[in-house]
Amino acid sequence: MSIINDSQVILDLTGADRHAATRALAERLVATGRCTDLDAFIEDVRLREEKMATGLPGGIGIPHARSAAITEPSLVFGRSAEGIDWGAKDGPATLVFLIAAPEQGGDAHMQMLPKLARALMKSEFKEALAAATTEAEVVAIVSAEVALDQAPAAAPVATPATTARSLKLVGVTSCPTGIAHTYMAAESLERAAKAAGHTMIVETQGSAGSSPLDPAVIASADAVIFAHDLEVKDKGRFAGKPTIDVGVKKGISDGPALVAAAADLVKAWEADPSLAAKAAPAAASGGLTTKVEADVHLGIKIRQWLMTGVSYMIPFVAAGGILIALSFMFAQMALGEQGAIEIVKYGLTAEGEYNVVQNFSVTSLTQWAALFFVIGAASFGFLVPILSAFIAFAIADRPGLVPGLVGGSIAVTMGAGFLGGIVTGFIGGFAAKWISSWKVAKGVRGVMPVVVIPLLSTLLTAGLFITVIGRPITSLSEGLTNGLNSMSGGSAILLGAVLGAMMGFDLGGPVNKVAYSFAVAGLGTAGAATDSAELKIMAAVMAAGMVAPLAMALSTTLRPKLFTEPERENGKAAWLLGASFISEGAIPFAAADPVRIIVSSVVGSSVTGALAMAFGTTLRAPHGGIWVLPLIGNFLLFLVALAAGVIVMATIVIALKSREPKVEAAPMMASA
Amino acid sequence: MAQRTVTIASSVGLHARPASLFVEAAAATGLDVEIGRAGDDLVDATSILGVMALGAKFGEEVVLSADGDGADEALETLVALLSRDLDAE
Repeated sequence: MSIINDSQVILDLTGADRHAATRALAERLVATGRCTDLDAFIEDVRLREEKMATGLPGGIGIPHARSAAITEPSLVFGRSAEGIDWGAKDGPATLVFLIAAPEQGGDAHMQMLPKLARALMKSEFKEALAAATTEAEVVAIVSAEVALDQAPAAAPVATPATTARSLKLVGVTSCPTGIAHTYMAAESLERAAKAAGHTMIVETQGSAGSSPLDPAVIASADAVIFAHDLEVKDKGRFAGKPTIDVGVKKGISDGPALVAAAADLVKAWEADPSLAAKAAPAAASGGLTTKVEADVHLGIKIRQWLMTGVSYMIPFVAAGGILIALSFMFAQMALGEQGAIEIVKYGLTAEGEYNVVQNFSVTSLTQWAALFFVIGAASFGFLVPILSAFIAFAIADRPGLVPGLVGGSIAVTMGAGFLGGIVTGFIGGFAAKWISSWKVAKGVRGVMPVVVIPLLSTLLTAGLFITVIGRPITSLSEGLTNGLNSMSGGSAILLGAVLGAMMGFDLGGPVNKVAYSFAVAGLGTAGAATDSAELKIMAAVMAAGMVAPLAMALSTTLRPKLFTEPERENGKAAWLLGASFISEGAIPFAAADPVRIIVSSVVGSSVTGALAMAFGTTLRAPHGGIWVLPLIGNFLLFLVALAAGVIVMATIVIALKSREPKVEAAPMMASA
Repeated sequence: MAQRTVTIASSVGLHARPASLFVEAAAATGLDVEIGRAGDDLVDATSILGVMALGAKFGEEVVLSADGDGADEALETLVALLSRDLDAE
C-alpha cells in the first residue's frame, strides 16, 4: 500500500491552531482505515509536538508520531493559504505533512522523514505542492519523492502474526457476456495478489474462450479464488484446495480482501487437517460434486446456471439476428413494403421459386436476402435448445448436454419457447446430476457417461415435459407473447422505463443481465413482422444500456474539474464503450461514487428506455450499439431517445457532483 | 579545519527532534559547521532540512567539520550532543 492517497490530501487545511489542523489531518487516516484510535494518535502527536515544535523554516510543518493506533506508515498532506503557526521561527506553515508510523513499524518513518526533507530542499517540490489543483496531483508529487523502499509488512493490526509467506494462488473469473467483468476481475485479483506478495494466475473463462491453466500450476497452488457469474468449467481440476467462491463483481471491487481471505483459509487448513480431508474425496472422485458448492447461496447458483445458458446462447442470437435483420433490409429493398413477409417463405427445401439452394444467383438481391434469412433462421432455431443444453451443462457438466439439448428442442417444437427451454434445462441438469451420482456396479460405471446417463436422463426430462409440464408452459409462453404484442401506448412506455432502469441500475451486473436476457430471449419469438413488441423491447434495452457510459464520457468532457485524472481517462474510453453498448464502461465511475452515479444512471436510462418504446424503435440484433445502427428501425428517433437519456444523466451527475466537492469522495473511496 | 567522527546515539537516528537540537547547537557555535557521511559531500549543519535529509541512522558514523576560531571546542560540544540518546530525553 502506498503511504499517501487521494483521501489523505486536504487542499485547503484550516484550524484554529496546529492541534486543530492536526486533528483534521488525522481524521483522514481514520477514514482510510489506517488509524484505529483517533484520540490516542492525536495525543501521541501532541506529545511529540510539545517536546519540540515541528515547524521548519520555509513554511513547513511536519507533525509526526509513532503510535499503536496506526496500522501502516502513512502521510497526510495539508495546505493552508494563510498559514498556521507551527512554531517555526520564520513564520507560519503553509505546507503540512502529518507522518504516522505504526509502533512496531520498523524504520518506516525514518525513511519518510529524510526523503521528505530531501524533497523539501527542492524549491520545485514546494512550488508544485503550492500550485496543485487536485488531490491526485499531490499524491503523484509526493509519491515521486517519498516512497518506502520495501513493501510494508503484510496484514493490518488485527492479525499480530503476519503471513510473511508468499502464496501461490490460482483463480477463475467469468461473466455472462464475457467481455469486460471477466478480465477486470482477473486483473484486480492478480494485482491484489502481487501487492500482498503472492503470485496469482487467473484462468479467464470469458467469451474469447479460455486457455486452461497448466495442471502443474494448479497442483502446486496453495489456494483457489473463484470470482464468477457462470459455473466454473472443469471445476474438478481445482478440487481439494482451500477455495474462495464469490461473484465476479466482488472480484473486481474486493481484490485485496479476497486475497487476504484466501491467505487466512490456507492458514486455517494448515491448522486443521480435517478441512483438507473433507475436500479430498471430491478430488478423488473426479470432482463432479464438491462440498464447496454447498456453501454458496442457492439463489446465486440458480443465477449462475441461468447465466451460463444465456452466455452460450448469445452468439447464436448475434449471428442469427444480424443475418435476419440484413435479410429483411435487402428484402424490402428488392421487394418493397411486403419484402419481409415474402422473404420468410424462402427455404432450403421449399417449393419452386422459394428454394434457395436451386435458385440462388449472385446478382439477385432477393436471393441474397433469402440466403441470409435461411441461415439466420437456422441459427435462431438453436436458441432455445442451446439455452436449455447449457443450463443443464452448468448444473451437471457434460452429462447435462444431452437431456438439455433434446429437451430444449422438444420445447421449441411444442411452442413452449424460452420458458420451456429454461424448464427443460433445469430438469435435464438435475436429472443428469442425480443419475450420475448413482452407485453402480464396476462394469456399468464405464458405460455410464456414454449410454446410461444420456438415455435415462433424456427419457426422464423429455418424457416429463411432453406428458406433464409441456402444455402448461406452452400456454404460459403464448400468453406472455400475446401480452407483449398487445401491449399498447402507456404500458409499453412503462415497460421501457422499467427495463431502462434495470439496465442502468448495475451496469452489467445481475439486474442489468436479467433485463438484457429478457430482451434477447424475446428476439427468438419475434416473428417476421418488423414491429413486434420484442423488437421494440430489444431496441429500448440496448439504447438504455448505452446511456451510462456515454453520459459519463459527456460529463468528463463538459466538467473535467469535477473528476479525478483516472476518471477523465476512463471518460475518454467510455465514448467508445458506450457507443458499442458496453455498459461496463461506466463502472469505474460508479465504483468511485456509487450513489450519485447509480441514481443518475437509473433516471437517465429509464428515460431513454421509455422514449425508445414510445417512438417504436425496433432492433433485431442482440448487441452492437452504434455499429448496428442500420439495423435499427426508426434509427433517428433511436438516437433522439439515446441523446435525451444521456443528457439527462449527465446533467444530474454534474449537478450532484458540483454540490458537494470532492471532500465527500473520501468515505466513498474508503469503502470502494 | 577541524574534523571529528561520531556515532549517532539517538535510538531512532538523526530525525526531526534530535536533528533540531543538533542544528540549534550547530548554529549556536557561530561557525560554519558541516556534517555528512565519510566519503560523501558534507551538508550545512545549520540547515534542518539538510540534516534530516541525511537520514543518519542509529549507530551510523558521521563526520563533522568546522572552520575558524574555537572550531575544536565547538566540535567537542556537538560530538557530545550526538553521542547522547536525544530521542530518549
